[in-house]
Amino acid sequence: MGRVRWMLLRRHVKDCPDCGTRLYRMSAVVDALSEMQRAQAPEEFASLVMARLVEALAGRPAGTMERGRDNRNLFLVAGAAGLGLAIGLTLAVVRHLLGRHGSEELAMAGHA
Amino acid sequence: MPEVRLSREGREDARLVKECRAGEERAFEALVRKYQHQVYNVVYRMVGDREEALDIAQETFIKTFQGLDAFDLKMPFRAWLLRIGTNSAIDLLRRRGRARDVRVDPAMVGQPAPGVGFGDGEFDPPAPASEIPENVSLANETADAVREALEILPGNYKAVVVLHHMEGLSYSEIGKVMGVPGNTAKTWGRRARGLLFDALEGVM
Repeated sequence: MGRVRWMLLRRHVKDCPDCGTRLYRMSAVVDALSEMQRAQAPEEFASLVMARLVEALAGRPAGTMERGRDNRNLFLVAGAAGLGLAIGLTLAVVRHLLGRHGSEELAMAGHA
Repeated sequence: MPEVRLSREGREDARLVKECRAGEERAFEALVRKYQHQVYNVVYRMVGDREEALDIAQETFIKTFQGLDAFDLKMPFRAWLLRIGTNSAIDLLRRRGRARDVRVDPAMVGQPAPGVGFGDGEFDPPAPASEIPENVSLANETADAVREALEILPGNYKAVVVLHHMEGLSYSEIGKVMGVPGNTAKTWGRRARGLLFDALEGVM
């Protein structure tokens, strides 16, 4: 209700006891609703929810959190595999170069 | 639900939801901590039993988590969360056989319920605090009487009363929570107050 209508209503109820009583009661109902204390969740509520969540997810197909975790694990495994491959390749190249260098030295020693 | 421009809170919630999807458990815990009291209060005021409210509120967060992949990040998270909570509470009331959901005739939307309101206006004061000073202070008995009277309301009416008068949501927000137009939520609120008014006759 706009302020103007609210003022008109208040002016009306000054001269109309029936409406005045009705308005008083309606105001009391609305005020009582607004003033009702808010119920607080227990302190351990969040922990209980997280525990129930783990319970609910156990034995189910991978959901949001598991999929996220699985994806991270997949990245870690792929990263480790890539690093291993790079190290292996580097070692092979070094061994190959050293091997060729060694053969040349042996050939030179033969000539001498 | 039409797309809406998210508030700062809404954008922060969307960021946390994204982190949940990426596997960050702490992000979901942050959402639980942020909304636990609101969800619990709404559900408790609707079902009127602490144990049942605790169970439903927890279940609300579990369902929310399980539905995160389907959640539209452009929509307000709080409305979606409260929708899951109020629907669960209404389901419980139905199971109890106490809920009597009243479907609103679209033709009636915007019209005051019989015996409610003043003339063609509606009773919805501009602010929760009354403008009539002598009405401000209310005895505990009054609050108890109102709490008892709330029990008689159908589930959807009760949800509107709790969300508007106790949680301070606008009718537009309540519409999003309840999955109805804001005007329908407003009509439910007006009718709920009318029923409370009638139920409290002789008490207040």
